Amino acid sequence: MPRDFDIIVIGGGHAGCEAALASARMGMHTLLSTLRRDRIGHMPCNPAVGGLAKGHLVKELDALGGEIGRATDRAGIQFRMLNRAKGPAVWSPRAQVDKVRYAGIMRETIENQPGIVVAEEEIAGLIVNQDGFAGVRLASGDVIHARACVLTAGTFLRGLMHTGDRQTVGGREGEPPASTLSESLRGLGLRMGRLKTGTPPRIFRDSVDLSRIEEQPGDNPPQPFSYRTECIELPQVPCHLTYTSEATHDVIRRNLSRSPLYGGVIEGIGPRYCPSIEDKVVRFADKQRHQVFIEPEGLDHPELYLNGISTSLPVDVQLEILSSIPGLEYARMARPGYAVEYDFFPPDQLHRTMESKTIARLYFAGQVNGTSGYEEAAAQGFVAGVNAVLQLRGAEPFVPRRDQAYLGVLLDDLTTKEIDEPYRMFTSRAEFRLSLRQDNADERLMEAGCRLGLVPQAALERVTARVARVDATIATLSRSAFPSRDGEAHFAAWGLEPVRHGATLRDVLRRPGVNMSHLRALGCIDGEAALDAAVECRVKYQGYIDRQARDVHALADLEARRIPRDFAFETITALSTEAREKLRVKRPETLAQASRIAGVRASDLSILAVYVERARRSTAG
Amino acid sequence: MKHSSDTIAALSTAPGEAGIAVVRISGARAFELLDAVLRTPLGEHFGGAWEHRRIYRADFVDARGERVDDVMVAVMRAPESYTGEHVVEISCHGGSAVVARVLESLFDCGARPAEPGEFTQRAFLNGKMDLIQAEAVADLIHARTELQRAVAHRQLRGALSSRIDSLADDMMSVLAIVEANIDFIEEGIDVLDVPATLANLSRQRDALDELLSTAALSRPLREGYRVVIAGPVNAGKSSLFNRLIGESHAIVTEIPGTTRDVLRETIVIDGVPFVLHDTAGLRSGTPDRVEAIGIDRAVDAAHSADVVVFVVDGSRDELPPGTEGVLHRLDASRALVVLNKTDLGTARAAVVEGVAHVRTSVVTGEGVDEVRRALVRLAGSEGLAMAARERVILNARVATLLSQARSRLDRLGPAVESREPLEILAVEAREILSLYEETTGRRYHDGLLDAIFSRFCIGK
Ligand SMILES: Cc1cc2nc3c(=O)[nH]c(=O)nc-3n(C[C@H](O)[C@H](O)[C@H](O)COP(=O)(O)OP(=O)(O)OC[C@H]3O[C@@H](n4cnc5c(N)ncnc54)[C@H](O)[C@@H]3O)c2cc1C
Ligand SMILES: Nc1nc2c(ncn2[C@@H]2O[C@H](COP(=O)(O)OP(=O)(O)O)[C@@H](O)[C@H]2O)c(=O)[nH]1
Ligand SMILES: [Mg+2]
Repeated sequence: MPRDFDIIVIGGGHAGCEAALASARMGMHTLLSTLRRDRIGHMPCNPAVGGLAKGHLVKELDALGGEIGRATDRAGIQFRMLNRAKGPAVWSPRAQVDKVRYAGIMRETIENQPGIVVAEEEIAGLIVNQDGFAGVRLASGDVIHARACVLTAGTFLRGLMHTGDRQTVGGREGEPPASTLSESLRGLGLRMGRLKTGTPPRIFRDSVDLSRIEEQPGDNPPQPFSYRTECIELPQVPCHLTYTSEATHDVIRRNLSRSPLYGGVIEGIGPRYCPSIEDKVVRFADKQRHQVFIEPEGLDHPELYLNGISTSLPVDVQLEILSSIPGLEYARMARPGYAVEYDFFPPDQLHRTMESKTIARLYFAGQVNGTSGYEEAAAQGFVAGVNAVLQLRGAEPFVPRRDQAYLGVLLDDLTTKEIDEPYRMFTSRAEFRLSLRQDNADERLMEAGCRLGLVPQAALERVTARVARVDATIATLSRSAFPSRDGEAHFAAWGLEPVRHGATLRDVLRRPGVNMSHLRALGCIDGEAALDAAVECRVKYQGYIDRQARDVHALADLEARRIPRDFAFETITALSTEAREKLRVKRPETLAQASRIAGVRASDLSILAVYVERARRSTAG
Repeated sequence: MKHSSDTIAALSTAPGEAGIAVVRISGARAFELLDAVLRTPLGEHFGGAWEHRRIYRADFVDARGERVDDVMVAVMRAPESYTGEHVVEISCHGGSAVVARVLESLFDCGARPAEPGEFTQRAFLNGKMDLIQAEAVADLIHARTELQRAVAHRQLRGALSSRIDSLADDMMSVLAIVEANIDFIEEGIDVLDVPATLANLSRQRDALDELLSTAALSRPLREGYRVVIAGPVNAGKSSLFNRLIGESHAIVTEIPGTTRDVLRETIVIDGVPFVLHDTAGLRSGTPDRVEAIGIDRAVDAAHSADVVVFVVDGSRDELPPGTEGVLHRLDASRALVVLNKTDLGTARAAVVEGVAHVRTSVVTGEGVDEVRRALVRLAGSEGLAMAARERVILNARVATLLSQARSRLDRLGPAVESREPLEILAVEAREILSLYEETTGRRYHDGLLDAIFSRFCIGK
């Protein structure tokens, strides 16, 4: 193995894979070092990709040239567009994947990617000099040099797993922790925190009679994530849904004292949006039942994943829980659920490129930043990988803004918010949600993907052509009058409000309850129906998006007001004490970022603006 | 340069001879100062920590150890104090010599004299008060009338902030359910309860209407009612003006037209300020340019007045040419005709139908009290006085924001009713929440996820 690389990626999880692929595809000689080669792209938790807001992230990564969307399409065994009952801005794609195939596909992609060397090596420490990152030390003692590093060690840093009172050190089931690396990082003066997450028990498929349980089919036809996917190839399978019972809750209440969570053994903070079943029973005591989604771990995988009953109770209690759930009475447990605690580095120590503020050319991505979820990890891995390359080339960094992408929201939140539980993306975090849709991710980002050299020009041209067709349809709608004679009778029959005289088709379409299918039924429009959803989105949301334009401008303006890297926040005594302290620690890069830090008030911001402007003028001469 | 890290000290009671005076100290070094300047009655140093909310009896000594006074000292530790820093209040005897020596000793030991308003500024900077409360402090300091003081005081105690907080709470509960339904589908979350949501929104609407109903009172409360004294030359306008303000400010002469510009003076009637404007006389065919400008200003002033007092010489039946016409164009709801110079006669009969009138003699003082009462009635200032004692009165900034919120509520209600998509409702609800946020300067949006997770069982 060579001893010198451009970029070293530590970790072969979802963050590490995207980082390594982006780096190599952008021409860097890349080392991907991971503890187990056969666990590259492994999914330690639920066998699914996407979902609300996460699906948006996957679509965005795909438009930029990431891999997660394509791998999901290739390994997907059930696809659903969630939130169909609501407006298109909040539709979100989700897929069940065959986790063994997914990991296999990802590994194969990595191994076949020219420019990547994969090493099954534990990184024991980082070598850092006054210029920043210089290289890594392997557990064997060997040293490898590189110009930049992306650290994506997941839940492995001082990983500690709990099942009842049994504790096992390790990053996840069957894998050792990476403790020396954790120590080495602490030694570099990085702040650390501790979080926890958990996973439910798995059961053997042949021990349950799924025909007796409510079925949840996928969409037909399945809609892929990636612009690269022509069609979904694997057979599609259903999921199933059952519920916990009063008996389940009794079992849990009786055994609470044996839960490491309630016994006070676990110190890490778990996510509120992903509570263990013991948490749910305690916190929502009056709820009579909780959903349990039964998801296949793969097409021909012998195990089933029980979504909804993540737990760290002892094994005998887990068995009792299983037998109390209708449909699972005779289930045999393949592997018990567990909770895992791990170190993370509060990401306010990073620039939005995911580069450390104190150690140049060292990037952090994924669960080490306190996030949770494959999609969030992949997104950061991609951003870190791309920016490491850009930095080595001396080029401008790639950091989308909050109004441009969920990716922008993610990077910005991570670097400004207090991470006091594992961070997960939600659509409610995106204030410009109506513009950041899953269906226009390519319109928003593919151009950037092309510029990075990660997406072929032809793909962008297809998108541009599609946008032009949507524009043309909207132009037609704005020119055409509603055919009142014919149309009114139909509208009345459909139970829609009458149309005011002289309204254009566009006016009519803007109204709640009216959609393109109505206009088609009236024979007002022809041409391809495939773009109807896009047309509806644009027309229906236009008024709101225009209203938000002012906020977008204000944001862009504040984003453009950069704060010098060495700015001395602590010397501005006119700031409130709390704001001064928060700013000193978080060191925002722009006034926009400063404005989003809790504790920084409007009055602080105006004071800061004055001083930043003064600093800018004095350095400008 | 002023440093907010300094420890500051100042006399906090009014200067002058008094029984006691209170010297206030705020800052990180407050207790060090106490250690330096206080001795127990036995002449020993105080040992140990200064306890929160305790009163100490002590001897105050100067830098040379010489006893200055016998004092009582109240201790408030950070952050539970007015400024959020360590605060100490020393009650000493009120002679100015004592106070001067106490302050001097403190300055000798490292304290810095506080600038005007600096204690409050620190309270604001340390997050002890929000924007509305800080505005109230400014109002309080500048309060010229008892009513202004009462209103500012109630606002400082959080009366308005807590109303907006509760509006934000209401909006947050709408937003939480809307957002939860978007982000956490398949998790058995209750759908948006339309009647309950509408009830919630109309509660907010009513509360805003109630708050906004006082907005019209804000200007007169802060600036006073505008009273413009108009009328023909030599009718006695300036004399009446002087009589009302009780001192001779305006120039009174027997040469017609000497009041060339508009003079202004504030008087307080029943706690409410009235700003009186004395104008040049209305006279047609003015030869003097300077005076012509003055008359233009008078006409302008009358337009924006809360009350117009139109003075004529009531001892003669005949009015100067042109006056009759102006008299008939007066707005009866806010005009008062004063028939002056009753000491010389009452030849002029009642004036214009519907317009109130008072007979006065500015020379004898007859009828002047009645003019005051008429001002109160016409301005409606009793309503202001009442509202100021019981209710929150919005300032212009807050009123603008809240009336924007009010008009957005008018859009959100129907949108909920017609079941518009949730993501649209969310936009509307968030905008309103932002307006509440801007009003108090607090960050309600940050609590959204907390609101969702505390209300709903989330997590598959
Ligand atoms: C038990 C469990 C339950 C979870 N539950 C959920 C959930 O319910 N919902 C959810 O959204 N997410 C959940 N997750 C999180 C999700 O799996 C992760 O967020 C995501 O996989 C993180 O990706 P990553 O690339 O950051 O790290 P990982 O996928 O953990 O990858 C880390 C990689 O780093 C390598 N590595 C570590 N240390 C070293 C070293 N010193 N030298 C070399 N290589 C090293 C490892 O071999 C591994 O390849 C769970 C994770 C676990 C373990
Ligand atoms: N006798 C008498 N003289 C008055 C009265 N009011 C004003 N005057 C006189 O009338 C003259 C004009 O008064 P002035 O106030 O300057 O009138 P203006 O031009 O309306 O401001 C002065 O000589 C006053 O002394 C009044 O009530 N009785
Ligand atoms: Mg005069």
